[in-house]
Amino acid sequence: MHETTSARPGFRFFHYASPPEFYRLAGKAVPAFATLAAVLAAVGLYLGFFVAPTDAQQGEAYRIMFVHVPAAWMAMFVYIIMAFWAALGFILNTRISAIMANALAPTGASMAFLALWTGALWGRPAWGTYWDWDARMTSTLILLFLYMGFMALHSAIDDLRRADRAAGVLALVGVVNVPIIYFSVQWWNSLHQGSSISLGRAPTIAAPMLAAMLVMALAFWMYCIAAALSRARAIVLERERGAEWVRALAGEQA
Amino acid sequence: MNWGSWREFLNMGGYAGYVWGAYGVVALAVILEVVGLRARLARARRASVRGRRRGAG
Repeated sequence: MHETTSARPGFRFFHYASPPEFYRLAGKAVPAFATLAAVLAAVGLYLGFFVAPTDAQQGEAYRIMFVHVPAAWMAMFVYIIMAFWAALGFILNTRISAIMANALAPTGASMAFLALWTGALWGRPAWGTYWDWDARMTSTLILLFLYMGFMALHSAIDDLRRADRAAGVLALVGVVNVPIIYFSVQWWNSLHQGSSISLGRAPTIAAPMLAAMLVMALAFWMYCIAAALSRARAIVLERERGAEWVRALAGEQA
Repeated sequence: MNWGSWREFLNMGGYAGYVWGAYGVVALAVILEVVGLRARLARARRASVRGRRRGAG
């Protein structure tokens, strides 16, 4: 079926970027990433609740960290990947680029919301307030609005190509917000604490706590990949409706 | 082991509302997204079957 493309072994991106090939491959990848996410989450929760000790200052409230930090990281990371696919869409004009950007947005929005929600529930016992209009929290709220803006703009434009382009521009412009979130605790005097771990510096939290947080971060990462790929498959089917390969696929199931 | 009993575990040192409020909403968000994704994929598949029948007929 794909003899023509497999004859060129060098650069396979365009091969996998073809909707039928992507649909097939992602169909295999989703269960693998979902299983990884479930296993990692089980290990991470065990480490977080049963191995990591009670914090000397914050008591048990600090355990919110094991979902808060991964959600916040993923909210930023997913945005960068979404913008990357949007950029690739402008450069290479492959159909799958816009599909991936669209598939990532709801998952990223969910992560941004969870970062804010868990942050509020952690902030109350730790700082005495659910919310403060400081740089870290405000820029994370803006991140949530960027995701929502991306989805709203895309659904507001009927023509699919124009919708992809307009939303893609929004995604790219919004990228400036990500370093602002990340460095906000260094650039401004913030209620939010500084990073517990960062490149080139020893972590400032105990080893079991760090292990739980990193395993949970991996679990969130795998989950985001599974969710985005799964959504991308649905979008592929929706967009390719009526195409020969989709009809053939429907024939297999009927 | 941090907890002497289930009661102690659920109580979270007095922070039960904050800790379970955070974890509960994370779990809810994941469940809603997974259910939504399954429904969307199933809908897209059904539509592709209909498209095939239309195309054939």
